[in-house]
Amino acid sequence: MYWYTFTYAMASRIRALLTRIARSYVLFVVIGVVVGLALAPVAWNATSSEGTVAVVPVSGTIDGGTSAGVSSMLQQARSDSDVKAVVLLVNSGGGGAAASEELYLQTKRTSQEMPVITSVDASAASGAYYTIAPSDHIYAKPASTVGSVGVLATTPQALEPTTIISTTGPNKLTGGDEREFNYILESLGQAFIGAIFEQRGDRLELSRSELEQARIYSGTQAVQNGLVDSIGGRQAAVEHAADEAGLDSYNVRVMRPDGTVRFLSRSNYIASTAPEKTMVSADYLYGENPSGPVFLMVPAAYLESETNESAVAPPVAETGPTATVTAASGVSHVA
Amino acid sequence: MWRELGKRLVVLVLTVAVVVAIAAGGPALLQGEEEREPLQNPEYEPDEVVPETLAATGTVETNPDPAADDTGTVVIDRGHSNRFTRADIEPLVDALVREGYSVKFYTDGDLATALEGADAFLVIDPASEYLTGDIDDVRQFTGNGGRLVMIGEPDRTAVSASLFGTSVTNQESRLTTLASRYRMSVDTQYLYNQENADGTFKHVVARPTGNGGLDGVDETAVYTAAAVTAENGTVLLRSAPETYKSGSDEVTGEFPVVVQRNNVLLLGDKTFMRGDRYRVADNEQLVAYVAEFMIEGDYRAPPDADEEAETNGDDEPTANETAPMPAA
Repeated sequence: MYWYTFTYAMASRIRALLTRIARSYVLFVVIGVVVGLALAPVAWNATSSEGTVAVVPVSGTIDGGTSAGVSSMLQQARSDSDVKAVVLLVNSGGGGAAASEELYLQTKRTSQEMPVITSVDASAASGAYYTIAPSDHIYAKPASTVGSVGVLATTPQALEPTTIISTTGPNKLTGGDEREFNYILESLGQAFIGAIFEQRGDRLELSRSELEQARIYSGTQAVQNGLVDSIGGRQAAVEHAADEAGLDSYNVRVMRPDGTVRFLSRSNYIASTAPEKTMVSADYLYGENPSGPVFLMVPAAYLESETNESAVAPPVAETGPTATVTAASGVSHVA
Repeated sequence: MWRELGKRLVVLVLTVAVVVAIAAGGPALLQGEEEREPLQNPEYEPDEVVPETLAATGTVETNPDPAADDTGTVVIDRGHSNRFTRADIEPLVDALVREGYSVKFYTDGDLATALEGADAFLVIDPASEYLTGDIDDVRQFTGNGGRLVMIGEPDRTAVSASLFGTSVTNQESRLTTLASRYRMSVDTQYLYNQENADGTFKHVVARPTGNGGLDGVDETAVYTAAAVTAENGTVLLRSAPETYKSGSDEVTGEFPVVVQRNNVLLLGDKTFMRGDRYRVADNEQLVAYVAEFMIEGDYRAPPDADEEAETNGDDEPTANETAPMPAA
């Protein structure tokens, strides 16, 4: 009996407490605080940031895939009203001529709409330099390599239509003789050099023919000759971009290309922070049996020594941009 | 009850329709003001980018001195592993043949015998040096009215592919001993010019200096040429301004490409007269000039060839092998 009375009293007390809680505002305040804290970061970002700096990596050998990936990242940046500036993070030795031209046009379009600042990692040579030429400001590191403004291609062999292969015209097999082919190549080179001068003519200390010699320069040399604006890393580039866009507080969004990034040069491979990276042989650029001329915007050094060894990815796992290069050849640096 | 449900369904459908309509019409309304500007690319203006092609027309028309023989022989050296193909010399051979001249090749044996009765001796890009005996034979030939044409090349890198892979070899024009006896020499670096060229920097444009017999020539195109020199010689052709030598990327000049010294002619390029190049610019006139130069030679055998030690076009005695070295 006693037990029953005690239980009954207990239950009625709890009920009374619950009723009081339900009627008071305390519970709702607590729930409100919890929900509010959950939403707080969103609200914080929405009001504390004036805009976003989009970091677009341009890494690996520039081919159709790279070009499409980077183009889509730049298009996203342009269409996102929150993105106020773009930082190009470049580590590439160039690649195909048409793919590099596409990237040049994409960067040019982006830089017409918002500030574009570039930070060069291991290198921005040839087609990669073409890509970054329209940037408002280019940062490089002392060991970066930039330049190699030019085009290379394998001259088609002189072939004659025979009884085995018939053609409707004498140049159908080769596209033209060596002399005509050189005129084609020269027009590609002139477009490249013309674009560099259009973008950076006011800052270049090099004459047109000096640039046309297609040399490679170190980051510090490039600052002297105007191919690059100043020495600095990616942080400097991000801050500069925010500054140009007039952002006091900003978010940084690193855009990532989908899929694997492929490198022709070992030094670029090592310097890259891409999540999935593999090395390729020069054949990758030429294709297995190229039927027509392949116009490349890469320093020739990339195509020679690394053809065989690059088939196997070096046993260097994820390393930072300051990795030590041991067995590198061509245009790589031991840092 | 069904009626009530029906009403609610209608409301649902209408709501969906309104949302979709807003989603479809919204962007068009929002973007109405923004017009995309087309990207202007003045740097790709075709007239600026496409290099002007040098015309490749014309035919070789020789016009030798009327005093020259109507017939004769030109000997072409094949005895020093000379690197040239039939296509390299065909336009020149054609010009000689049309003037009534025959062409013979010297492959081995006594050079003096081969040169007997010839009007000119043509040496193209030899891969081995001339030995003293051969040099004496050539000097005796030129000393007696014969004409010598030497065509050198800069050092070339030849890439050859075989079953065992690709090999790269360096080729040198070994004209040093022969040319130096005539106080002439051929440089080892190739010339390049980024402004005055036939398509690409190595295809250099060369222009006459006004000296010598290259009247009417405006410009010629030489493909992989070397600079040539001759002491007290006449420079007939010079590369266009702003020409560089490979390996010296900071020094520009107008380098001699064709020089003449008495009855010896030295050219720094063999490719200008190739079958597919001899029509470019005024190359055909340069080919004609070389042919005329050879035709106008007139070798007269000395009365007694064995004792011949005549000076031959230059003032250096043939007996002297080398100049004495200055004391160190």
